[in-house]
Amino acid sequence: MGVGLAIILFLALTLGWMLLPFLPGLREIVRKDDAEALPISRRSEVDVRHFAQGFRTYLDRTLAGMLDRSRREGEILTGELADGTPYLVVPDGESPVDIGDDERAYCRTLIVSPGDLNLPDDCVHAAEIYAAGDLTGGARSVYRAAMAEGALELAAGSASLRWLHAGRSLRVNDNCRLWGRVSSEGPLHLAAGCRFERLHAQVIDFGDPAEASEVALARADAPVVEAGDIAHLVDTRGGRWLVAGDFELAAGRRLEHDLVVNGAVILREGSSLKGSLKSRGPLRTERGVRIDGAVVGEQDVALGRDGVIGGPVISERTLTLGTRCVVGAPDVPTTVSARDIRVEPGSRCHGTVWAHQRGDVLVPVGRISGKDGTA
Amino acid sequence: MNAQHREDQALPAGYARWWLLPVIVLGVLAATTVAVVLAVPASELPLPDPQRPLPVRIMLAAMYLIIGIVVVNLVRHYYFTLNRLFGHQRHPYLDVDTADWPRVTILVPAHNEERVIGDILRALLEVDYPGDRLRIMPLNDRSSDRTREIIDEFARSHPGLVTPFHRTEGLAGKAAALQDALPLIKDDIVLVFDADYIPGRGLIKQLVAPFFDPEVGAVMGRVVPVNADVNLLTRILDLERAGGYQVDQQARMNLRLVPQYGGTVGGIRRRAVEAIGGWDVRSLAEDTDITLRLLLAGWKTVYQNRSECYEQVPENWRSRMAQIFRWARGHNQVLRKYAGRLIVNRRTRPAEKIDGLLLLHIYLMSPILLLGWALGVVLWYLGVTKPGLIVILAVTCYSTLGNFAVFFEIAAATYLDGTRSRVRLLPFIMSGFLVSLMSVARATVTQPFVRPTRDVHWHKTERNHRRARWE
Repeated sequence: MGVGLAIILFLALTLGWMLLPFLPGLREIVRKDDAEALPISRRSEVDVRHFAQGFRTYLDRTLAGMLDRSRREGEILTGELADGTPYLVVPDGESPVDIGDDERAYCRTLIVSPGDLNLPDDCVHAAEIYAAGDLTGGARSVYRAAMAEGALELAAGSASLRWLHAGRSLRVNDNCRLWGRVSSEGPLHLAAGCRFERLHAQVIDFGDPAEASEVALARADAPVVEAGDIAHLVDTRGGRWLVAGDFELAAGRRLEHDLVVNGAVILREGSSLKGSLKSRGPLRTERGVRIDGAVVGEQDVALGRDGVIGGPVISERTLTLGTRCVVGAPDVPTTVSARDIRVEPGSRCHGTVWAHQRGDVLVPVGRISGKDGTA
Repeated sequence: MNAQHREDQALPAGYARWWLLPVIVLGVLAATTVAVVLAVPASELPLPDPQRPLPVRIMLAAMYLIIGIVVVNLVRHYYFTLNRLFGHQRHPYLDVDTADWPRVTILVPAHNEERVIGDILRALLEVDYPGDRLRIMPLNDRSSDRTREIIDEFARSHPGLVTPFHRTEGLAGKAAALQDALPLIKDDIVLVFDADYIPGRGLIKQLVAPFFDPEVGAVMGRVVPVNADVNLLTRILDLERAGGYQVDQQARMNLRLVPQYGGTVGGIRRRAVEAIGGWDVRSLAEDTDITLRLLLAGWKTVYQNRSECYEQVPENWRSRMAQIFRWARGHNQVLRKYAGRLIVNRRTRPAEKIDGLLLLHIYLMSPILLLGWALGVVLWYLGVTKPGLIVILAVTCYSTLGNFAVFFEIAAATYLDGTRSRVRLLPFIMSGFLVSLMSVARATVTQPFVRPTRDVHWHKTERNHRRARWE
C-alpha cells in the first residue's frame, strides 16, 4: 500500500468515525419522526371533575337510550357495549342490585341506573357505577369509579380507586380509602379514619362535629404590632414584612401586613394576621388564630384548633388542621394542599383539599378500636 | 403527551434517594480527576512557580482560573440534571385550582404586530379566569402598521375588558413601554405575554396561583417552540429550550435557587416591582434585570414547569445570532450592575448568591473559553506547558459546553418530555454552540465600547403564522 493511499484511508476512516454520531440525526432530519411541537393542553388539567365529566359524556354517547328504556319500562337490561364492556342497567330502586356470587369477587360489569341504586356488600367493582338518582354503596366494597347525580354514600370500610362524584351530596363513612379524586356539587362529609388524596366540594366536613370549647378567638380590634416590635425585620417595602430569623406573634395581637419569615413561626392564642403568611421553617398556630390571607409553609404547618384561615393553605411537608379549623368560606372557596394532610375531626374546608401522598381524617382517641388506629 | 404525563416520566421511586445526588456528582468528579491524573503525570503539570517570568506566571494563573470556572459549570449542569431526574420535584402552587382569584392585568407589548396581535387577544378572551377580575391591556408602542386598528377593534367589542394603551412618545423598547404602563395599572398582579404567544385556557390561573405566596415577586412559565419542525436551527433551539426549561429552570426551582423571569409567559407583583423602582428603561434585558433586583430586595421568582405556552423561535441563523447577541449584552449589563450587590446582600441565601452569579456569568463563558484556548496555545509555543494543560482544558470545555454536561441536560429533558426520537439530533447542538460562542464573544468583547442608551429599542424575532398543537 502506498503512502498516499494510506493517508487517504486514514483520513476517510477518521472522517467516518467523526460523522458516525451524526447519522441517526441525519436520519431524523430527513424523516422528521419527532419534529412536531410538544403538545400543550389548552384546557385546565387540574379540574377535579375532569374524569366525572368525561364519564358523563361517555354515558350520553353509549347508554342514554338504555337508561331511557329502563326508566320507561322498569326492566333490567344487560348486554355489551361496542368496546366489549358488559353493562347492566338497573331500574330505579332495585334493592340491592343482584350480582352473582362469582361476579362479586371481581365485577367487570358497568352498572348504571336511571334512578336510585343500592349496591351489595363485599363487592369489587372493576367497572364504573352510575346512578341518575342516589347511589348507596355496600359495606367493604371497592369501586373503580362511581357517580351519582343525587346523593352518594360510601359504606364503612370501602375504597374508591380512581374517582367519585356526586351531584347533590357525598357521604363517606368510617375507615374508607379514597384514592384519586372525590368531588361533590353539594356538601362532602368524610368520617373518622378515612384516608384521602384529592377532595373538592363547596363544604367539606371531616369527622363528627367537635364540642365547642372556651377559647379566646382573634379580635379585629386587637392591639396592632408595629415594625419596631419585631426583631430581625429587614424590609417593609411593597406591603410585606420580611423577617430574617424566627418569629412569634404574641397572644391576642394583630399584624396588618403580609409576613415572610425565613425561620420558624408561631402565632400565639387568639392572634391574627390581616395579610398572608409565608414561612421557610416550621409554622404553628395556637388556638383561635385568624389569618385573612394565604398560609404557605416550606416545612410542616400545624394550624391549632378553632383557627380561621382565608386561604389558600400550602405546605410542602405535613399539614395538620386542628379541631374546628375552618379554611375558606362558602362564598370564597379555596385550596388546601400539602404532601401529607392530617385533619382532626370537626374541621371544615371550603373548596379543594389535595394531599399528594396521604390525607387522613384522624380518629378521636376514645374511638380507636383497630390496631391500625381505625375508628 | 400532555404536561401532566410529561412530569410523570420520572425514574422509579426506588432510585429517588436524596443521597444519590451527591454520590453521583462526587463519583463523576472522582472519575474525571482519575482520568486527568492518569493522562497527565504530576511532573508534567506546569505550575506558576517564581522561576518563570511574570507574564508567564500570570498567563498560567489565568489558565488555571479558567479551568476552575469551566469545572464549576460542569458540576452545575450535572447537578441540575441529576436533581431533575432523581430529586424531589417542587410544584407547590400547581394544586391551587380554587381560590378567591385576585384582579389581574395582562399586558401584551406590541410593536408592529398586525400579523399576530389578533390571535393572542382572541386567546386571552377565552381564558378560564373570572371576567370581572381580568383586564387585558395591549401595549401598542408606536406601531406603524395595522396593530393599533386591530387593538381598537377589540377594545370596542369588549369595553372594560380590553383597555389599550397606545404609546406615542418616550424611550423605545419593551422595558420603557412596560414602565410607562405601570402607573395605569391598578391591579397587584400583572402578567406579560409577547404578541406572538398563544396562552391556553387554564394558563392564567396557573400563573396567578404562586402570587398567593407573599414572598413571590415574579412567576415564569415554560415556553415551547411551536415552529420546531421548520429546519435544523429550529430543531436545535427546540432541544436547547427543552434543556433550559424542563431541566435547568425546574432544577433551580427544586433547589430553591434563582429561577429566571423571562419577560413573557409570566408575571410580576406590581407593588414588588414598584418597591424596587419599576422597570429599568435602559436595561437591555429587562427580564433578567427585574429577576436580580427582586432577588436583592428579598422577593422570589417562581418557575411553573407545567404552565406551558407556545412561542416562535428564530428560523434563520441571522436572527438567532442577533437574538443571542442581545441576550449576551443584556446579561452582561445586569452582571456588571448587580454582581457586587448580590455578594454582600443580606436578604439572599449563600446558595442564591452563588446561583445568581453563575446565572449572570453564563454569557461570559464564551470569551473565557476562547481566551483559555488562546492561552493554551501561547503557553505551549512558549514551551511552558507540555500537552497536559491543553488536554485538561480541552476535556473540561468539551465536557461543559460542548458535550456531556449540556448534552446530558438536553437528553434528560427529551426523556422527561417523552420525545425520544428528537434526541438523535443531539450532536448537532455543537453547531449551535459554535455559533453562540462566536456571537456571544463578539457581544461581550465589544460591549465596553457601546453607549447603553443607543442599544435600547424594540428587538423582535421574525413572525410567521404557525399552527399550535393543542391537545
